[in-house]
Amino acid sequence: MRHYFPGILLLFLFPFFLFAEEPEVKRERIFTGEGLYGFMNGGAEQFLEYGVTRLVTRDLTYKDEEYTIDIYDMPTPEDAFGIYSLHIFKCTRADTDGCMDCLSPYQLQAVAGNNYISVVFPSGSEAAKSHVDELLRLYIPMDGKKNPRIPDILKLTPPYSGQLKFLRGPISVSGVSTSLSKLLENIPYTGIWFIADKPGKRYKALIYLKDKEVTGKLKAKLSEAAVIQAGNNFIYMKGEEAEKEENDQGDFGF
Amino acid sequence: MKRRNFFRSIAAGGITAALSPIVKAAAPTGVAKEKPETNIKEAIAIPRTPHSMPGKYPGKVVKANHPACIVDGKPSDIAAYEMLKSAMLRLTGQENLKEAWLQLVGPDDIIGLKVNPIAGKLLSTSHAVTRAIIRQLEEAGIRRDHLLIWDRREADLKESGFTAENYPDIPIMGTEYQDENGSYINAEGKFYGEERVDKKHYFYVDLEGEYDAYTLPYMINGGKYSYFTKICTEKITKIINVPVIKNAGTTITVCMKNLAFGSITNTARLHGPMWHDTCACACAFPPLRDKVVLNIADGLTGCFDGGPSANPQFICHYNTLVIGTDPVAVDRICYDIVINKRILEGLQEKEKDGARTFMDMAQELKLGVADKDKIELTEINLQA
Repeated sequence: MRHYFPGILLLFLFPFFLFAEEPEVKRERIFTGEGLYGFMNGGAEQFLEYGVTRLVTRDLTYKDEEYTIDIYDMPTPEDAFGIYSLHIFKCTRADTDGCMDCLSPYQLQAVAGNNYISVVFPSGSEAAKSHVDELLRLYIPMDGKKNPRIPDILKLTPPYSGQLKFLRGPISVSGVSTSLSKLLENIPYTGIWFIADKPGKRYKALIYLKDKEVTGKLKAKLSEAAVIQAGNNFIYMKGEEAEKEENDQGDFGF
Repeated sequence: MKRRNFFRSIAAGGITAALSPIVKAAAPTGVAKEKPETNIKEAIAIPRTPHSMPGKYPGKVVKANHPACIVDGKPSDIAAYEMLKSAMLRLTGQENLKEAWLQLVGPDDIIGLKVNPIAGKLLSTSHAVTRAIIRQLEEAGIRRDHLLIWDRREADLKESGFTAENYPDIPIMGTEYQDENGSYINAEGKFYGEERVDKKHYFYVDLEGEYDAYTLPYMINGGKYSYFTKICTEKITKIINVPVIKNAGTTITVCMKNLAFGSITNTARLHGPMWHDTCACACAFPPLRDKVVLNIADGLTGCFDGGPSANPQFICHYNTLVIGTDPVAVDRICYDIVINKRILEGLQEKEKDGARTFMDMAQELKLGVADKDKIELTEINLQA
C-alpha cells in the first residue's frame, strides 16, 4: 500500500493542478514593426528607434482583477532597458529580487532579456497590485539571467531603475537632454548610457561612437574638464543642461 | 503612413482607445503667424441667449477637495456625491440641493452629460462622479430618460464602461458608431456617423483635412468643414460638461477641449497650429455656447503628463472636483492645478508662454473669464 501512496496522492491532487487559476484572456492583439502606430499613434516612433519588432498586448482577468499586459520584443536587453528607462517614473518599488522592475500605483514595468513588459491594472486596488508580480511571471521568467550589462565605468550600484537611462537615437536623446542633443548633432553614435543629476541640472553620458574618427570629432567639441574618460570608440563625459525649451508640438490625435 | 497603420489596427481590433497615443497641444509662438480663415464671425453674429456661456455664474468657480475620495484605487461614490453636493450649494448659493440643480436645469430639459472616455477605464470621467450627477438630478425631479450620456465615439464610451448595463434606462450615444458587426459603414456605403451629423452647423477652417480609408470613419468627413453633432443641435436642450483634469503637453485638456473636439467632425486637421483656436472658437457656436449650463471637472483621478491618454506612471489623484457654469474660468483654475503638479514633479520649471492662449481667446469671444484676478474661487475642504 505504501508503494502506491504517492501515486494515489498525486491522483488526488491532480484536479487541483488542473484547475489552478489561470489568466482569462479577453482580447489579444499583435502589432509588428510600424504597425505599432496602430496601438499608440506617434508614440510608436520612440519604440521604433529602439528597434521594436513585435508587441503582444492582452486584456485579461486574473484572480478577479483586470489587467492589460504588453510584451515588447526588442533587439537586445539594452534596447529593452532603454525603452523601459524612458517610461518609468518615480517607482514605489524598484529592482526587486535581482530583476529590473518598477512598480507604480497602476502599473508594473519590467525588463527581462530582450523584453520590455508593462502590466497595467486600471483598478489601482491593493488586490490587483498584490497579484501583479505573479501574473507577470506566468508570461515571463523574471530570473534576472539576461539582464542588460551595466558598464563598470559608470560605477553604479542597484537599483538602476530611475537613475540610469539607455538612449539609442535622436528621439530618445532629445526627450532627455536638450544640451546633449545639440552636442551630438552630426555625430553618429550607437548608444548612450545617461545619468541625470536633475537638481543640479548636470548629467553624465557614456557615448559609444561609430569609430575613432567620430570619437575625435566629438572630443574636439568638449572641454578637457568635460571628458571623464575616453577610448577609441567611446567618450564618458559630464555636461550641464541649458535652459530647456518645452516642446508643445504634438502628434496626430483626435 | 502613420495614420493608415493606426486605423488599420483599430479596425481589426474593433476598438478605438489605446493606452498611450500621445496628443499634445501646439502653442503659438510670440510672433503672430498667419492663421487660416474661419467662420467665427458667423457665430459671433448670432445673438446670445440668457443661457449662453459663461452661464448663470460668470467667473465663479468652486473647488471641492476630499482627502479620501479615492478608496483602494477607485473614486468613491460617497465622496463624489458629497463633493458635488457641497460644490453645487456653494456655486448657486442655495441651501437646498434640489433648488441648486433647478437653477440650471428643469424637468422638461433633455440633458446631455458630455463625458470624456477617450483614455479608457484608467483615465476617463469617473463613474463615481457620473453616478453622483445622475443621482442628484433624479433627486431634483429629472427623469432618467431625460438624460443622455454622450461623446464622439460609442466605442470609447463602451470601452470605458458607459454601457446600458451600468446605466440602465439612460441613453448612451456617440456621433460615430458601429453596427453589430463592427462596421462603421452602412448598406449604402455611407458612414453611420453621417446620420448623426448636422450640416447646418459647422466650424469652417480654411485647412484641408485629408484622410485615408482607415482614418475617415473617425473623422466622418474631410475637407474644410467640421460639422456639429446632432446630439448637440437636435437631441439635447442642455449640456453638463464632465471632463477629466488632464495635461496636454504644457497646457491642459479639460472643459473647452472636451466640448470643442468632442462635438465636431474632421478634427485631426485642427490639432497643431489651430488647436487653441478650435478649443475657443468651436465653443462660440450656438450648439455649445447656448446649451452648456454647467462644467464639472473631474479631478478625483487625473494626469500631469502623457495626457490626454492614459500613461499610468503620470496618473495622479488631485482629489478634487472643480465646478462652474463658466468653462473658461474652470479651465483657468484647472490649469493651475496641472501646471503646479508638473512643476512639483520636475517636468517643467515654470509656465510655458502661450499655454493659456485658448482661454484668452475664449475670453475675447465673451465665453468666460480667463483672467485669474477676476475669478471668484471658493475652496471647500471636506473631511475624510
